Amino acid sequence: MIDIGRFALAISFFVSLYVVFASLFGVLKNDLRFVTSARRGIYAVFFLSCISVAVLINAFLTDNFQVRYVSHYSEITLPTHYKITGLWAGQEGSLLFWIWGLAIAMAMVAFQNRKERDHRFLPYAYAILMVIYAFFAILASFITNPFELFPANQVPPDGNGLNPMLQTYGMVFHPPALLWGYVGFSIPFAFAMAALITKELDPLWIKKTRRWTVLSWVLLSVGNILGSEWAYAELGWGGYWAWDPVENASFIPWLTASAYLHSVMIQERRGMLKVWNIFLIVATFALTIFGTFLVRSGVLQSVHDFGVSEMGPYFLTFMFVTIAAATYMVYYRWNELKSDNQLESFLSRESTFLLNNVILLALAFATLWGTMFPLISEMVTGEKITVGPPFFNQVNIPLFLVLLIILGICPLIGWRKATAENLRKNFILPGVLAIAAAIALISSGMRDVYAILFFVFSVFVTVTIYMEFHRGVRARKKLAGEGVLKALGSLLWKNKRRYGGYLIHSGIIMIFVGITGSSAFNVEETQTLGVGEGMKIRDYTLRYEKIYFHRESNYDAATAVLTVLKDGKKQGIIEPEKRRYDKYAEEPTSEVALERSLKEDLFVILASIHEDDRVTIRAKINPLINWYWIGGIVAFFGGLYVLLPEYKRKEEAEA
Amino acid sequence: MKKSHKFAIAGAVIFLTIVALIYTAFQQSSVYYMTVPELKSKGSSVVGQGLRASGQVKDGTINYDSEKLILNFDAFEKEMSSEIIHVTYKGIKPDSFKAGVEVILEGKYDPQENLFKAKTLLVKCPSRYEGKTPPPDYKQEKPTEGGKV
Repeated sequence: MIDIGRFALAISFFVSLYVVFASLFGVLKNDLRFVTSARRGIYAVFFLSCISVAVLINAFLTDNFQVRYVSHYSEITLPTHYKITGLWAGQEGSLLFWIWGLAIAMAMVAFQNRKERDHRFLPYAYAILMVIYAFFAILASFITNPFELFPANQVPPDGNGLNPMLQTYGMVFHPPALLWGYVGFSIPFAFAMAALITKELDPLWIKKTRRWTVLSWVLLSVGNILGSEWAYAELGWGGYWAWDPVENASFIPWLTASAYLHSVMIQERRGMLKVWNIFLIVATFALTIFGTFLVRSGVLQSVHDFGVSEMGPYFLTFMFVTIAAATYMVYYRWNELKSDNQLESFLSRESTFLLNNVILLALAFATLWGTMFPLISEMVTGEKITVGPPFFNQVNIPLFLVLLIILGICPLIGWRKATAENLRKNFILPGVLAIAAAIALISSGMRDVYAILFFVFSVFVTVTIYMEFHRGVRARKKLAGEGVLKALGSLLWKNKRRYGGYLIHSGIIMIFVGITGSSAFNVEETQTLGVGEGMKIRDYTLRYEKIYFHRESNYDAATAVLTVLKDGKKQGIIEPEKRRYDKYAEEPTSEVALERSLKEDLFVILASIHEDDRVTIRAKINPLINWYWIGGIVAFFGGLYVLLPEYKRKEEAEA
Repeated sequence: MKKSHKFAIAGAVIFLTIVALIYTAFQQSSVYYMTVPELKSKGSSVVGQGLRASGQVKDGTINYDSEKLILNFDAFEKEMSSEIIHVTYKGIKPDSFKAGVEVILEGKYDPQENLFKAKTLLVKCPSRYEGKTPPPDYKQEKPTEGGKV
């Protein structure tokens, strides 16, 4: 049974080589039969990788501990849904999961374009994607194979169990979203390279891959946000982002991808920034590989310590080959990549897009620099010098602030060149309301300059987004004579890309508000309490009632019961917990107790248990933090909205 | 002035601002990252500076006052276990903290007392996200994989 999975994976590698050959041969000899055959090969690869994945999942579900990988990450008593997540719990499996994602994406691309005969770049794109597939399939088949078995006489009776930190719902969604987000950028990358090879450099390759770009961006965003929610609710240190190398590794490609998402719009509309766009998509793709390398190679000190493996050099080589090939192709096609237009004015939408790109790239560079500096300094001077969160905050906060204000200004400025009249008309309302917000915040006693600026800019941007909706609705009411709701509905339905984009922007503002509130105004208290005693934190009192010990499916737990009082009134009961998993008895874990509201979170941890049932409690108030998650959800739905099929009409929408 | 010049100048100004931002932040917040032996040999040159240090927690030296939340222990480097430093940390003992784990400390070092006053304490637990090493009788891994799982 296991052999079927192993063989399917190995065969898919050989089929992928065939696809590379067939598609290249087909396009070079102008023989469509080979291209068709290559496309079928892609379906075959998809089918084979599905078999591999099914076999591995089945091994988890049937507790087949002869499979090393299963015995490493599962145990008999593990709940079923965590057994399935075992697929991506470790390196071997997550590589297989990566491959599977690529195979699915490729099959979809091949299917979408099955009737396409006019574009020579498609076969090249297939070939490039299959080279990527082949690379990962070699790693998964021959270097870290998830189907490796123990000798038949040495099968362990039970597995080692899944690490307790991974036994949480974060585990179910965070890794797949992140991994498939990474995978998705292979598609625009491959199309960009194919466009360079075939000289078909009109924006068609961008149009064809737009949905893939948006989808990958959405997945990467969701992956990052879920990761931080996981860190917040599970790891129990009270924060959600620490500028740790592993976090940065997934944040940097997100930044370049965000830049790409915006700058391709300029190429589509104005035929500018062609080289820049190719640079961005190559950078994004290379950074996803680099991220995988950082996480797996162990070259950097991180608290997220994934097992160090021998895979590092492979990823690094692959990344350098990618960059070298892409650089050569851009150089080779330099003359075909000239801009059709020039920037005309500072006050144009193009230049705000450009500034947005510069800031996103600056963020990416600063984050990469801070992450890599210990390595660089050790290589150059022999001394390791590191930077911590203060560095990232000091550089990135002002950059984020600029990014936020551009988010508001951009829609107010027309394409090409804005007039003074246009500016005055558009800026008055948001400007006035932002100033009013500033006065209100300062007079209410807020003194943190960054916090004030972030809140004020958020007001500004929110108003500009509202104005966009308002203006659109008014125009439709006038033109089509529709009522407000109908006008809003058809406005949203007919311009999904535009209004979905605004929805994403609203989400981003909420995220900024959440980050600002929780980082500038949080309070923390730690205290040891006897039964019946209480501790104060701001206007809350936590009264410790009792502790009870209980047994669950695969762990023992101690749960403290505390009554939450706010201004003397009872608010509810909160139960932080300590767990000791059977397979990880030496590493007790804490279950955070959270009392969530739109205004703030009360975050409580049972830090330690003493004799006479006395307990040490750590409590924290994180103001506005839930806007961070809500913003993530809003941005997610905004992204999905953009992905819906476009409304068909003769003229392109005014974007 | 030609338009392209204007854009070039604006671009240069933005670029230099960003470089200056990164440079000043870097000057203010970069710290040395040392192992225990490095700390002991260079300790006197870094008095009063913020430092990051990594080491392993020595068995039998852990002393945790869970009421006052003060954690004291000795740390050493695997390759030079004769060199130790004393560490004191005020705060909750992390769940995964125990003898033998690797820790990353941030704080200041006093060479006279050979004492590292840690403001933050991070535990680098090898088995944190990976499965545990299987019991020895089942273990027939390739040598590279056996190093750290």
